[in-house]
Amino acid sequence: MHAVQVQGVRRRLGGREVLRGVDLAVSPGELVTLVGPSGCGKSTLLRVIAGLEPLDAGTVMLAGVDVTALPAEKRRVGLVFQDNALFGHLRVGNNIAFGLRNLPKAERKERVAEMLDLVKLGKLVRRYPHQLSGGEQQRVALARALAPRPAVVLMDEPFGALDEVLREELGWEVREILNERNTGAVLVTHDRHEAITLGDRVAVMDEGRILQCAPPRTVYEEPATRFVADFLAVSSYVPSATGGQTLVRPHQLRVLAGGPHTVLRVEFLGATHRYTIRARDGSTLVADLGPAEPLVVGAACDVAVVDHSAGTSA
Amino acid sequence: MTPGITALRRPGPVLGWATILGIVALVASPVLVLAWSLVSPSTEVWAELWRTRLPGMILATVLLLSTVVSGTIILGTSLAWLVSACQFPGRRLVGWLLVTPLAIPGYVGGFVWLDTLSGVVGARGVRSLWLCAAVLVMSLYPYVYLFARAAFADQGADALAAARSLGSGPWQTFLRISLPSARPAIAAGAALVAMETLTDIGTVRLFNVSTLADGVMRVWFGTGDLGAATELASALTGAAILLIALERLLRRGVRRSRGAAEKPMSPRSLTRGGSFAVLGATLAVLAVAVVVPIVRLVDWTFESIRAGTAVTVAGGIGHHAGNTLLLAGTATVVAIVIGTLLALTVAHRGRLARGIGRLSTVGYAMPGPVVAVGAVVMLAALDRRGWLPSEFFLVGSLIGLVFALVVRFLAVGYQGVEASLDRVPPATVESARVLGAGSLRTAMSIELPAARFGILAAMALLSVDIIKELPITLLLRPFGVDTLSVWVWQATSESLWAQAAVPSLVMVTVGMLAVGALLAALERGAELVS
Repeated sequence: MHAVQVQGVRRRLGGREVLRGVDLAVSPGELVTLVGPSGCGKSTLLRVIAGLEPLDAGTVMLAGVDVTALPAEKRRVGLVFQDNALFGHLRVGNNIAFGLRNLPKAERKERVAEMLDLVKLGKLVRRYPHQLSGGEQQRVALARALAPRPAVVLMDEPFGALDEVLREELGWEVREILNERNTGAVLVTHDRHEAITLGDRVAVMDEGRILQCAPPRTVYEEPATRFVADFLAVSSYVPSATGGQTLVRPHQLRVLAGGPHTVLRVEFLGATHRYTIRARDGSTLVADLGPAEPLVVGAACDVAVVDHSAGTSA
Repeated sequence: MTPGITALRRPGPVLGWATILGIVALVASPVLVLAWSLVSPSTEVWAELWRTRLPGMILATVLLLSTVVSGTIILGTSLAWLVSACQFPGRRLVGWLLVTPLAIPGYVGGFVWLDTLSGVVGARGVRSLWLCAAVLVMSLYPYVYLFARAAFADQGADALAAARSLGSGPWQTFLRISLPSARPAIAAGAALVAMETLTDIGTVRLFNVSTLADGVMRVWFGTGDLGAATELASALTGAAILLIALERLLRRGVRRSRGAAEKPMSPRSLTRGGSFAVLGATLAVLAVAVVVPIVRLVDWTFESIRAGTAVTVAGGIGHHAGNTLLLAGTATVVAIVIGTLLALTVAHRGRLARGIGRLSTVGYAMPGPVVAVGAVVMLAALDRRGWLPSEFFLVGSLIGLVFALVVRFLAVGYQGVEASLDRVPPATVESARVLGAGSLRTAMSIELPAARFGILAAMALLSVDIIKELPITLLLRPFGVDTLSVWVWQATSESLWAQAAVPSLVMVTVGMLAVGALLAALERGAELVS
């Protein structure tokens, strides 16, 4: 049984079809990242699952129950937003207890303590949200969402307001917490790096459709479409043996001194250099492998694909 | 305005501080005069007052205040919630119209309903504290409404969505999230209502409710006893101070404003019946607060013109309207210029300057009769010194009147401009400085343009307040200079409703224009402050 199962969801907003027949299934304990350019419909899909946005066609199932006709307050999903959306007039403990009204008092207290423990904020129970750091606020938001034990947690750019270091750290922590509790999750992001590093599966969306939903390695190495390939990571295309074009990632491309192409740009990445190359036919190639002595801008060069088997025609 | 700013901000800190202190000292002095008599009461007068009228006055004041404040909180907050959270036909228009009672003073709505209802409940029964409270609620609820609406708009859709997904239905979400987090704003609006009620003399006189403010005026006009009036004014000051403390207490607590990436709350659609019920409820409020008064005023005005009674001893409508415009115009401009000057001088000068600047707003927290008495005491003291040319007295001069009005209303100008200046990012001001603009050019080309809608909103509020104002104008107006509000006061104290209708209608019309300007400014991002 899936934690969430969305089938054939369509949604028209202001004359534009924002969701054009979306299918998505998330298993318990699985984290699916939903990534795509802005306006692709990813946030709308999240709101449809939460019941905050009506749909024109399709069904939404939560833990095997059809909830398509249920209002948001009856669906019991967890929600986490970019700006945490904590209740500013309530202390941390009361924020977490907000969704636990139906529990007896003792049990409610216990659950709040358990949640605070889970997000490692036990000491802050009596603070107000504005007295917390951005990372702490987001942990409280997660604890609040998880407290009623929802089948699924939906997160809309949850780390968007945090700085990069904190973002990665918290990302891993959230993943572990969700995994530990066997809770399914959908995480919307526009950050491709976040999408492939955090997701058990990555769903790439564009113009109201999910183009591919697969494990990170698959979408990275075997993208279903050129859009998916280009959106997720830097891509270069070289002629293939069959006469088509082969996708190669920068780590699969080596630059050699001397040849028909020209070095356009050299970026220092620490361990390596990244070369952007203007090929003789006018196309652009990006390579992370180079000679021991770095080439300079304007130098003549050639390229070689290091690992053909990883490339896929696109 | 400009030379002042250059002179003040250019030559460095000394002149800036001198300006701040000078303005604050001038404006706060009439109130301090009374504060002094509060701590040094003359026991005889007190004993006399306690034995006679004071207990009754305090009771009436407390009853009226608590009824009006709770009434406006309930009405203003519910209307704000309906307009923010429900989709119904004409929502935007109704949302604006609900502010218009601001243009109808309580004492105008008061005599209209007094006459309308006296046919129903009898002339005697109609003069009750409860009806007086109802009339004040209808005229003052827009303060709470405006603040509550701004707070609801600031709440953001995500927090409400989170509450819903945690199992809380619409009604529960309102009670558990929206209402508590709007509490500070509602308290701010309610504080304005409380001050207006405490300061009201026109409406309470109509309904024979003897409040403290009414007492100050009666003692003044009845006996001319400045001592007794001062004592009563001090008691009124005490009440005001208690209210301010209470409001500060209620305002504490934490408000989360909408996050940068968060959309404002959107109204939810209702069933057809539901949306018409909401529309009906809002229209009913508008009918009672605005439509009935205006229709009756128009009717009476025609009657009065036909009967040839649209004049007073002092002159016709032109005389009164001219005086009102002159007075309101002068006082508004003076208050906004001083307020802007103060706000610009205080800005970027640290917390101490800000704290001192706040003192200039003390007059707004004081009831009108208090400010009037304080200003008279202070101006009379100046007159006695003989520093001024002979034959010229500040008491009873236009300068004295404008001074007292500015003391009372400077806060509206100052805080409005200050709030807008606060929203100019420091980096913008710094960029201007780095690009070579001096203080003056920065003020003129960056800060003031950014604050323009704040200034417009403040001017609109100022003119509405000053046009409606009664106690200060009554006590301090020069001989023979009568305004529209004075005419209404005189005609209604003789129960000549038709005669009172003519100046009332002109006041309401001018007030509506000012409310329109206020709404336009709020729509463009001006902020409400109190």
